[in-house]
Amino acid sequence: MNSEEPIIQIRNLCKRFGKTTALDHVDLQIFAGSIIGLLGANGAGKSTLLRHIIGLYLPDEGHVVTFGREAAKLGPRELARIGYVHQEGELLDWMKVGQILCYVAAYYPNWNSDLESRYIAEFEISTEARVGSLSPGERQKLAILLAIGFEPELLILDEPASALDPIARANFLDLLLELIQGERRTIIISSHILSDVEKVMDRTVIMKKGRILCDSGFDDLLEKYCRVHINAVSGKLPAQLPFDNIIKSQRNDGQAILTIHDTPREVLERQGESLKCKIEVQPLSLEEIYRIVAG
Amino acid sequence: MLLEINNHSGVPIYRQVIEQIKHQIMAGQLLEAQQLTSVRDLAAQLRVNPMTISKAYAMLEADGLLERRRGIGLFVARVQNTHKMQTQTRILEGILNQAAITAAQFGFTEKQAMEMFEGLYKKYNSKTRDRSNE
Amino acid sequence: MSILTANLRHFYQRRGLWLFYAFFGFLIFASIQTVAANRKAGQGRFVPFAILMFVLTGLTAASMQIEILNKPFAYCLPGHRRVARYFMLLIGILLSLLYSLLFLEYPGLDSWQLPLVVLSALFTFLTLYWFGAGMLFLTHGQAHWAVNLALWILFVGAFFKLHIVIENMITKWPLISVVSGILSSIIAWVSLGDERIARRYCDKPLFAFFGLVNRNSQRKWDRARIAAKGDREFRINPRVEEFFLLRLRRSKCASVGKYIWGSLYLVFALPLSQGRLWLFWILCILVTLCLLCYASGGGTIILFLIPGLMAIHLRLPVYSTLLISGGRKERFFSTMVLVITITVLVTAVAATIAAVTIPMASIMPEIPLRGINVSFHAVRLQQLFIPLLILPIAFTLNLVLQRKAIFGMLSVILSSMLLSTVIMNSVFLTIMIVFCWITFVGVLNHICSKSPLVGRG
Repeated sequence: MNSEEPIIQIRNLCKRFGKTTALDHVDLQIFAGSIIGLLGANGAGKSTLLRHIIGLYLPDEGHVVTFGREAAKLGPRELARIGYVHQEGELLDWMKVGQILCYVAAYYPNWNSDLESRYIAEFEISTEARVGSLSPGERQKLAILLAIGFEPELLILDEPASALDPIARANFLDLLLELIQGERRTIIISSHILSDVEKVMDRTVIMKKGRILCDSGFDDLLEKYCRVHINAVSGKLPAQLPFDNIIKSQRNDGQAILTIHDTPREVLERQGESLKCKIEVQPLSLEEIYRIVAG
Repeated sequence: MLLEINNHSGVPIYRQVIEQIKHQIMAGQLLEAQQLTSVRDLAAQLRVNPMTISKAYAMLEADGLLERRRGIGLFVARVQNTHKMQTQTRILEGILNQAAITAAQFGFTEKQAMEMFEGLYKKYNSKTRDRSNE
Repeated sequence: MSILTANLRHFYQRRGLWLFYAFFGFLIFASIQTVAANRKAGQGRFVPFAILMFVLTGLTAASMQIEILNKPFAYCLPGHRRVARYFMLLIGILLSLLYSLLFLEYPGLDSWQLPLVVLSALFTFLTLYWFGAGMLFLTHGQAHWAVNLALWILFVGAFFKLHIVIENMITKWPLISVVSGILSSIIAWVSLGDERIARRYCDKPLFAFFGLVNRNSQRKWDRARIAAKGDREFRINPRVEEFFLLRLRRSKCASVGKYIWGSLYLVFALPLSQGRLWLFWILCILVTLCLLCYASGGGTIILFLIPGLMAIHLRLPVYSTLLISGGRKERFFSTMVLVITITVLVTAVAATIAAVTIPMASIMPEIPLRGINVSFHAVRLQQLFIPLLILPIAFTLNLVLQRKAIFGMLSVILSSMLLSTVIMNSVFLTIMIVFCWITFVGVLNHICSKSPLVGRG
């Protein structure tokens, strides 16, 4: 799959705002057809990175190329293939929901009215309401609808679900999965709500202080780390346990809990067998992995 | 094809799919030459990313448990008995291993443990159960 | 730290206040200047600036307190609800005390009269201060109404020579001023202690003084207004919507034209749909016109201010994050076309008005005002260049000070003041206009090709 051209290519990107460094030598390639989860604390540089992709920011150093064009030269041909939902969703407060939909739809030749009406029904959006009178959750739903209505090839979601209630959130994630079925769409979703992204993403990028700490397939990330529970069958555990790559270990005479990275399950089991102990290998949750990587 | 996915267990979803399909083939719940649900449909049914399903299918195919018929879809492959035996043994061994360790930890004697296993086995094995009813 | 000192810290922590300090400094300087220039009693030379200052200070202090009460967390902070009155009384007394020292210079007073007059001045100023604060509480914290109301009262007061009345009251009837000062303080103290005030202002959408600096509170107020009056004040005429959307849809996909129609739609949809808005503008123009033509030349600043302030508040499509499909080139051209359209329109309106005033000059009567006959002068043709000059300046400021609306407004006012005092011949004027437009295009081009299109978030 990696033999083709990436749709987004970021090389050595640096961005400073005054004295603070927002992005620090970031490299990232994104290929069509996957859902990328961008994780990181507030201020890690997630939004800044996403804004570079659509050319709202220009790099101080390095290159950002989206759909084969430098960020500064992006035009309607490229940008009309990108949907963008962001936190300070600036909408036209004085319009009615129906009016803003008509207005935005007029820009996109491939606006999908069926999707629009289905979404309106499913998310209980009132088209007669004024945008300015919507609650934060409703605004966010509208912003999402405006970004997906033309079925963009690349959907960039910057904290899209933070104001949604649990059910709307679940519906929204289902909708994303539905969008990605079949056609080769790409979704980049940034969030600090891990349970949102872990359901949908297949690639994970973790950022901290303007740097990318980790960029790997989500499955690989989950399998990279594990926790081994060792329980002595009789007597004590040996003082020296035959494991490598230990990140964290807790033990007493009869038991030990080890957090281990980059060791296949089979190897662990083989190493454990020599101990003649009860060995249990457990996966780590995304939250625990996130703590290890970004903590 | 009924599968169940746990999103928060930390076990990658493709692994959960592989384990469950493998188990169903070994247990004879999925029969030889039976067609599998397509990637799209299964992804929609489980509400997961379709890439995950195709990854699971690809690994099962590489394992020789599934075979692709061009233009039609994926089917349960004809598995050689030795290969099937090996896989079944591996799965069972994994489960029994845990049981044996716990039995040893709790201080059951070998005889006690074996009796318990025999009793349980008789309860579920259809042939022995039918015979005892006669 | 006590709650009172915590509140007092606002005085140096709030940068918005520094503007007020500058203004107050100017007022104090001006009053000392007037007094120093001519120390005469009974002519009202001692108080006009003080009146302005205390009414404004009252407004500002009350606005700060209301804003604190407005914050939801302040409601639960122990003792916070009642601190407002200590705070306000403290400021009022301190400032009045300071300002009343001016009356030490009052001519023709005996040594025993002097302290009495100073004390009397103190209480008069305190009354004025509470009057300003009261305006804000009367209008339920909506600063634009409060300022309006206060200005009208002062305007009418000026007509009836209120400053002389007040000065005479201070010097001749100190008892009245002391009584009014104490009475107003007691009323303020009691009503500020009312528990309901905290409840009334907690988390209420406000058009606050500082809202102009604080975008969030301004946005909240805007949204509350839209929610309340949306169907009346923000209704778009279906025919207007149809007109623009049709052109928007028809223009070729990914063409610059699409974005130009879009930005024109966003700016003109409301004004074209709202008949009431038209009426309001026509009324405004007529009133200013009368003021302008009777004031003959002195009112040029208004000609600068109206289009300038309009331009600074317009949302240019450069920074739009609603539609990201417009690239930087599209943003440049749609902004350019929008700005030119507006300039042409404004100039056309100004030309029409100027044309109308020429025949009007022969009809309009002379108005006797305080013994002088004021006559109506037609708008000079040269003044038609004003929009051409102020609009590029205001739009440039709009682009540069995008996130700091208050500074943008102040800069427009300042440049209007400057421009209206400079007398220009036509060569100089032409050079200025060309220079301003080149600057605008240069800045727009720079922003559209090099700088971030959203603020740092």
